[in-house]
Amino acid sequence: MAKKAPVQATLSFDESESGSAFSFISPVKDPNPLPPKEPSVLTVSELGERIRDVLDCELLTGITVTGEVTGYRPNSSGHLYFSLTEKGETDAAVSCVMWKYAAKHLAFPLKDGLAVNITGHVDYYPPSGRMQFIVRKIEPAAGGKTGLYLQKEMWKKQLEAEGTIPRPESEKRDPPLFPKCVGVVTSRTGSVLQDIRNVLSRRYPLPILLAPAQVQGAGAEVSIVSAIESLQGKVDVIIVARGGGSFEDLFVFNHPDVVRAIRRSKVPIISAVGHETDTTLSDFASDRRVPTPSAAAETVVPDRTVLLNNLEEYRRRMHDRARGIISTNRSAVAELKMRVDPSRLSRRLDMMHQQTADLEERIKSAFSRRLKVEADGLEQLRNSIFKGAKTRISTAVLELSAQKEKILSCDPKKPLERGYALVQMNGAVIRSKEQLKKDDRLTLCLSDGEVTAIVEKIS
Amino acid sequence: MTEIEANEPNYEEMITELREIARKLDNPNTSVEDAVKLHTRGMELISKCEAFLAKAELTITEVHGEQTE
Repeated sequence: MAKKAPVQATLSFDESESGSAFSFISPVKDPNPLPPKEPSVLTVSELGERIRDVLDCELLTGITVTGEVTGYRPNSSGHLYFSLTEKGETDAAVSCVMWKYAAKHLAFPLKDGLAVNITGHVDYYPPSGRMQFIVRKIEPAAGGKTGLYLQKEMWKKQLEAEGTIPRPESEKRDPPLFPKCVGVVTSRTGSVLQDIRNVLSRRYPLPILLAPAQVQGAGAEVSIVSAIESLQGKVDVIIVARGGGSFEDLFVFNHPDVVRAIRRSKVPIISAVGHETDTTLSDFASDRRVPTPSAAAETVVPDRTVLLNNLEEYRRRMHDRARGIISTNRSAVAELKMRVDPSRLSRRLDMMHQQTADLEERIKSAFSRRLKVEADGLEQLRNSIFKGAKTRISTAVLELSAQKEKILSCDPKKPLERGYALVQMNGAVIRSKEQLKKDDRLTLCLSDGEVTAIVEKIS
Repeated sequence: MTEIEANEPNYEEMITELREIARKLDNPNTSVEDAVKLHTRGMELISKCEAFLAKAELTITEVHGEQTE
């Protein structure tokens, strides 16, 4: 139905007055009507030219038409073909083409069933006798889930292109462990604020700074952006929250202004919009996304009961450790005290005395032994000397006796005892008669004395 | 927003100091003088933290200054 309708529409637009997408064409009056002339037969091409002339008017160029996409046929060349249809009391359709150069700027994928606004002009193509809408731009139609879905896709691409989303993991900030004040952007009325209040009250009561905001409907984005900005510098963390609702109800949290405001917030932002299954573009820009406002409240503060338990544990642990250290030091002191005990010192002194006495004894003993050794040596030496001397003296005595005997045997007076006489004259021994002359006075030595004699005769 | 006294450590700072005190007390080389001082300081901090939590109170103020609760 929809595929065939546009062709028919090309020849009947003058009749489609009410309710159709072409209804605005009906009042068209050709500003320059052809001058009346003799009835003549037109060629097909002449008719085509006339149609093109008529279509080339202000009312049919630069116009925007709303409808649903049907019969979508993307061509391998890049051109997009589809019909824009309207269903209702009066069905209507127009054949559309979006040339490749325009299609490449399309921000979302086209598909059948989408509600869109197309902008362009109406043209007639004589070779095929086809009238079609040349599409320059396609936007999601305002209102309706489909349109909003496309709008969200467009915004997503746009925000991704400018780097607003997704917030890189490295730029996701943790809220402070112990915030002093929590900012909340949500509706002044409604259960969200109460949910947050209840959780905070139970877990960790602290001041809440509420920036009331309109969370759906026209102008909500302005209200939310203003609320986020009003909390900057005044709180430690911001919860942007909204209770559950339809896709349309939550739609404002996809708005680029809201997403950008979240991304540029100097205070960490927790996004808690809708329920767990709902995802808005704000979630991608926030520092953390949680499924519900209550979860957001639990995320931004610790549990006071746990903190108190932790403090008790700290107290117990510090007592134990301090006691342990004191106990250890006491033991050390006791040990030192024992070591410096007087009786212990006395024993030590006794031991030292004993050692000294032992040493003295050892020294004396050693000295005594040494003296004895020396004395023995001396005695031995003395004996040795004495014995040597004695031997030597005996030898000398014997030698002396022998010499004496020898000397005695040589005594010149010895023979005198046997009757010999020693003749001397003037002290000289007379050995020959030649030494004498008559009347010489001789001294005759006898064994028992001397006799003087006178030489009488020499013969 | 609650105004915090200029020289008063906030809760996070107090907890950080408590952790440090506990760590030092765990060290067997900590002297007994230091242990006594640390213990005294730790008890003081714990009391302050408990007082802080006990005093904590939820208020809701609107950003333009009107206290609603």
